[in-house]
Amino acid sequence: MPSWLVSPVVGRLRDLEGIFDGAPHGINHCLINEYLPGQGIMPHEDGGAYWPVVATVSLGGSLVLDVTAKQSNSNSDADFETTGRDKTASWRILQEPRSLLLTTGSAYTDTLHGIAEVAEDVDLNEQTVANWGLLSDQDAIAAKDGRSERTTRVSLTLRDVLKVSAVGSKIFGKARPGGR
Amino acid sequence: MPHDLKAKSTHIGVKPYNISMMDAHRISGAPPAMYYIPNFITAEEESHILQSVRLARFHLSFGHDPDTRVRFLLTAGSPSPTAASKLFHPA
Repeated sequence: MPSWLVSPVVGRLRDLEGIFDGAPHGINHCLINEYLPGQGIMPHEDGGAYWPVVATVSLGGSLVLDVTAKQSNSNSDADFETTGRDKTASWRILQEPRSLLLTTGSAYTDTLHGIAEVAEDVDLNEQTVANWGLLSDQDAIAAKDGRSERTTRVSLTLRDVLKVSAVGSKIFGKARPGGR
Repeated sequence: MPHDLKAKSTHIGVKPYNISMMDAHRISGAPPAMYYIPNFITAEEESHILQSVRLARFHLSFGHDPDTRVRFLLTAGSPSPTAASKLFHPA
């Protein structure tokens, strides 16, 4: 891990008490993605190759991460029949530059996440953004009528890869999901 | 606010977050548990990391393809240039 990631990012993550407790290797892996305006990633899950805690640091630009509960067969059909629409639970997480998003527990195991391929995220407000109350600058978004233009965003996705060598060969072989 | 306390409060890295502090950053309504911390790093730190990412790309001769998201991966220990160049050219 290069020094420019250890300090400040990795070291500061290790200071988050309890979050990475139990991860066999701590943080041993950083995926760096660049998202240009209009780029995104289809909904996906990250699966069992990683310890189920993921830290995402956003740099340079804002975008919305769409988190959706995995379909459960128990009630969805009945819900659909009675309401005429899909009631799958979903959450929009606005990731501002310099922010950290931590995903743990069932938020990791029971959801899919993706990023819409849009040049602008719209309709952002207290009702639609799950982390609205935690944002650094709600006023800036409100002043733009709930719109946030995409600019180039670089994300650092930091995790514990459980089987370093086996997983490594898979990752090197072809592009795989994992973007956030 | 005394000067020393003010200095500490402007930079979360100075003081480790503990569980109760993390609760204040929990995204309510989301499945358990997601946390959001704005300004986890400073603007200066952000600039330095972005510059380092660009330098790493340059040194590994990673051609920028506008149709492909840049993605590369850093594992514990520095990857060799050969291994790293594979990372920079995902299928």
